[in-house]
Amino acid sequence: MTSSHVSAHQGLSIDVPDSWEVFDSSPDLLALLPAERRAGAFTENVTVISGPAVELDAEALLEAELPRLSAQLTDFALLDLGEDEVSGLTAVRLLGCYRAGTSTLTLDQWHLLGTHRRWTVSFTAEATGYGAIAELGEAIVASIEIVS
Amino acid sequence: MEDTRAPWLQEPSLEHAREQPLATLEAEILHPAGQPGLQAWLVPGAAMVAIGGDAAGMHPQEVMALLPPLLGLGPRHGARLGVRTTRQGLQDFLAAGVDAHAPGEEAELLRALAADDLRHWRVTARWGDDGVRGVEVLDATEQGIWLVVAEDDESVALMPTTTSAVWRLLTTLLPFADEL
Repeated sequence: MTSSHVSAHQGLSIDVPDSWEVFDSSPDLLALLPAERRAGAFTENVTVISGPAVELDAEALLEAELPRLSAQLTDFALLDLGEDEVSGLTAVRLLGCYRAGTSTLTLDQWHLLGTHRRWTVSFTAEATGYGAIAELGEAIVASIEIVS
Repeated sequence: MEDTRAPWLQEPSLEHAREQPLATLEAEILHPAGQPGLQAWLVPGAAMVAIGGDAAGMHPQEVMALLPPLLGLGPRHGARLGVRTTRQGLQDFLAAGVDAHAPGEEAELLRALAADDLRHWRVTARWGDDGVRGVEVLDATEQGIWLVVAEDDESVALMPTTTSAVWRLLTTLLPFADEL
C-alpha cells in the first residue's frame, strides 16, 4: 500500500510505500526511505532534486552528467543507458554502481527535462540484493506526476 | 595482543572464509581465452578474493564492485533475435565464428557478430553444499548482449537482454547485505 505525497518544493507528487518516510523540508532535496533502518548499514532510498530547465537535449545533459558522477563517486561504473517515460516526459535513465565506504551501491537514475524545470530522480541501494528491490524503486519513480 | 584491524584484514577471518565460506563467487571469462577470472570466499564481515594470481581480503560488500570492470559491463542495446543452438555449437562459434549447429537465420545472426568484440563469461555463486546459482552471458558490445540459458545437457538458448537485466541477476547471486 502507498500514499501520495505532494512536494511543493519539487513540483511533483510521488507515491510513498506505507513503511517508508518522507523528508521534504528542504527546497534542495526530497528523500524517501524505509522507516526501519539498520544501524551502520546503507538504506535504500529515492531522492529527487530539481533545477531550472536547461537548453540541452537529453543526450547533451547526460554528457554533462556522466563526468560529474565519475568525479564524485568512487569507482563509478556506467552499466546501462536508456530512455524511459515518467509523468509523460521522456527520461534519460542510467544505471551504475560505485563504492561508498565498504559498500557497493547501485544507482538507478532518471533525468527528466520539463519546459521550465528539470529533475534528477535517483534510486540507490546496496548492490547485493538490488535485484530483489529494483521493481520497488521503479514503481515509486513511475508514480511521479509533475504538478508544476 | 588483540588484532583491532577490520575483520577483512585479519588472517583468521580470511582463513575462515576460505575454509568455511557462507558463499563463494566465481567469475570465469570463457572467451577470449587467457583472461583472469575471480574467485571469492565470503563470510559475514570478511571476504577473500583472488583475481589471477593475486589474493586480498576485503569487506564482502565490496566484491560486487569488482565485477563490472572484470566482465566489461556497459550499455548494450543491439540484441533483438534469440538463438537456439548447442553448447558445442556455441563453442565452435566462439572458436571460429561459425556455428554449424544453428539453423539458417540464427547462423546468419551469429555470423553478423563481430568475433573481435565477443566476450563470453559466467558468474556462479555457491551457498553451502547444494545451493548453486549462475549467470552466463554472451556480450557482443555494440551488437548486443545475450543471456546463455542451458535448456538441457546439450542445448542452449541465447536470449536477448540488457545490461540492466544482467546486473539485476548478478546482484541476487550473493547473500544480501544484512547477511554479510
